[in-house]
Amino acid sequence: MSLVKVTNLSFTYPNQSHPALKNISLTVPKNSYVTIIGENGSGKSTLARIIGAISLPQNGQVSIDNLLLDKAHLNAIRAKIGMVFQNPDSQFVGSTVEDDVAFGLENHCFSPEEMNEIITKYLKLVGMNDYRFRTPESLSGGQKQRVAIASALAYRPKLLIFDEATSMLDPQGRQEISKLIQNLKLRQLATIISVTHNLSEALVSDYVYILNHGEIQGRGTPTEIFANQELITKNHLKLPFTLELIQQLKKAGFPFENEQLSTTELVQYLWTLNSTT
Amino acid sequence: MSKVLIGRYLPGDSVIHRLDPRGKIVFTILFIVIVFWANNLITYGLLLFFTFWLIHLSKISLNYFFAGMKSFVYLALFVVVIQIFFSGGGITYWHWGIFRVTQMGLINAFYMFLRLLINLNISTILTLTTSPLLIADSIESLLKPLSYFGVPVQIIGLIISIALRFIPTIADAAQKIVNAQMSRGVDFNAPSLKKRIMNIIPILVPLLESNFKMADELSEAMESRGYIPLAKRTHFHVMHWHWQDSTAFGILGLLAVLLIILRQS
Amino acid sequence: MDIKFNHVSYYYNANTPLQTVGFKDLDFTIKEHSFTSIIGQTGSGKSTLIQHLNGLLIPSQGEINIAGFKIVPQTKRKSLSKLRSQVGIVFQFPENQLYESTVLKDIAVGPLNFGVPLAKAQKQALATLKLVGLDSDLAQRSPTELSGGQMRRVAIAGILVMKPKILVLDEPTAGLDPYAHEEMMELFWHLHQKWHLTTIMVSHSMDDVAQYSDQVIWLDQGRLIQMASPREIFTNNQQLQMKPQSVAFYQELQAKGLQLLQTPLTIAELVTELKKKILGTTIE
Repeated sequence: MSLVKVTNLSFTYPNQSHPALKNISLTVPKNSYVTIIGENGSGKSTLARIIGAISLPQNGQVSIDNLLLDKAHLNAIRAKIGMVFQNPDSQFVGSTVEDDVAFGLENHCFSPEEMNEIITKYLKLVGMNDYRFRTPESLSGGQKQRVAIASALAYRPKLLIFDEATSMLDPQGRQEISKLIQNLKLRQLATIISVTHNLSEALVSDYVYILNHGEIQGRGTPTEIFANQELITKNHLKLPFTLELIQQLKKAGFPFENEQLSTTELVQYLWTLNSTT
Repeated sequence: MSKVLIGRYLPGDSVIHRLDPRGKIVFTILFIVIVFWANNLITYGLLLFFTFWLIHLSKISLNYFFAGMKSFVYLALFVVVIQIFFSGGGITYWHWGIFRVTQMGLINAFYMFLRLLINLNISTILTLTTSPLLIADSIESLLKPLSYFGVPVQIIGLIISIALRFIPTIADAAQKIVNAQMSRGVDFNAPSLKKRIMNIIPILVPLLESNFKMADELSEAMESRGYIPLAKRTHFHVMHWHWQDSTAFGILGLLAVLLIILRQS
Repeated sequence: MDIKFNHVSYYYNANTPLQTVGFKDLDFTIKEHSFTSIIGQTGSGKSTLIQHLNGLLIPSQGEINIAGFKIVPQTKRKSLSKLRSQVGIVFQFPENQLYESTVLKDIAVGPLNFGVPLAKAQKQALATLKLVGLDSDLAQRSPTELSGGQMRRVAIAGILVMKPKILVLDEPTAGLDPYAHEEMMELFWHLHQKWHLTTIMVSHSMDDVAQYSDQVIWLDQGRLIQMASPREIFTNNQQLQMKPQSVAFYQELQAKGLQLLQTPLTIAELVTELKKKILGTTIE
């Protein structure tokens, strides 16, 4: 069953000659984790914002959980979606961590007792319950993004969209958030769409779309995508470290039967190779 | 990173912190009104002592409190000095042109200083012990009767709490822009006034631009989390009226009676 | 000329009850023409440190020697405006500082403030626009019409146009995608060599730190933990949380018992070392 269905979607910003999205079609199955990858300016954020019901489609159709995305269904669809945006500061609505999570719950008319319980549950899930009364300026970028995730999850959306949620973070914050997304996927809390320029995030997802110049350039499972060198270089993407290392080792004369080993497997492989030569 | 205390909130767990914020705001306003009844040493002394007692109850260190009040005390002294020179009555001690120092002038100035100090104390106690969000919520709650006349009270409350939330973020952005422009040779101490005024542009333009962008992003985040202007929403912070709150107003009433008895008629 | 920090400390809100340490007793020398990286977690004092390099902050104690200027606690900030034309600082997300109506005007702001005549400043601005890899067609456009990546290049041009001898980069690749990230670092590396710059970079990207720096200053909670070559910093340093990816990978090999001759700082070094070790040959 698909939760998101996009059919022939096109979108052009006012005062722009080139469309930001051209004839996009894709589906996202329930409880899956899909990544949409592209460099800055590829149109990926526009796509995330339309699927996230922030903007409406101009041409083509988008349906979320069997509801057609149009003006009449806007609020009903938004209630099914949680979004985590790029900038950690501008999406922090509350004065404190708990108030930020409460904001969405207040909009969805939860009672104060329910809110307290839900806030505790989701702050614990993202590891921020100890920071409940802290103000945003005393938190790191990664911590603010964790709070944003708790805030987006709190009202139990069916779909969670990450719109370049790690791009303004330092590598440590990026790692933390990537791990957290994986954890959410394992718990099957929601269907996940992650829009990113970071190919290594695709490694753990179920399905990958590569977007450039507003069009889908490639799609497939991570294994299929990573096997397609041409697709990756043509779209200005960078292989995750371990896969890049395997490519370079291969060029240096190391024999590889399988070019998509995990880090542990590669370490094991090199160790075995070293013991036998 | 400023040491000024006005507007700052110090989280804590004292009887003052726990009072209903709506009550605290009304209390503060009524207190400032009855301060005008004081007109002699004993009434001013009583009120000043009362504010010290409240600071004590709030468990905020007096040293810390007064370090933060220092600059405002200087401001108050400045007002007082003006008062000394320009108000007259009673015995004249010294005069030069239009300036004169008189007995009444000195007494008035002294009382004025006490009044400023008392009012500063009470309002600082309010902000130090009440989170900005609760102040915003309370203002919304207190203004509620206006909603029957079509005033969007809920939106006003939200605007206040978001404005308070973004003050540090915007201050931080402004500091970064100042640093960046100074590094490009923009001189904020230029000798000519015209140049100095012109030098506000390199700060103001980027700051406004980044604030508009932030406002856009904020509104998208709010909408995505289900905010619909004017729609019904619940409140996480429920304010409860306890016996302590009634007691506080009882004490205020007592204070008012004492003032009426002790003031010079 | 070398940059010298002689037992320098800085306190925020000095001499008040709210005094906090920015950094304490920093004592080091940065060699002329070197590429130095400053690493450390948030709150380590990195950004406080770089604000001392062009006199935005004045030390509370100690003495700084930089570009022929001596800065001590008594130094007046006013007397340091000339220093700012020699030390160019590219702050984090520098695209946020653009304000002029055209790209060319914005790049020329620095030279004009430092007294370069208009015609010459505009000529320099145009040349710098090309230097940072932007088309000269963009010169008369408004900065707000450009893409994020282009805006950042314009802002960087606005610093480079002053021909600084010392270039300070504060997280220059923050928010860029991997491809733009690489291009940006290539640009700085190219300029570092061509202009014989002294480059100081604050970065969280340990891969960049390992690849480009001659030396690394490691700060923690306002104190200097270590100043050394990247290889020394990244070899056997358990305390350091972030590492270059090749170092992290090598540590997994070590845990298995596979030892290389030296800690590989880049993926290329890792391949070379593995080849030497396992295939028994060297790569030309």
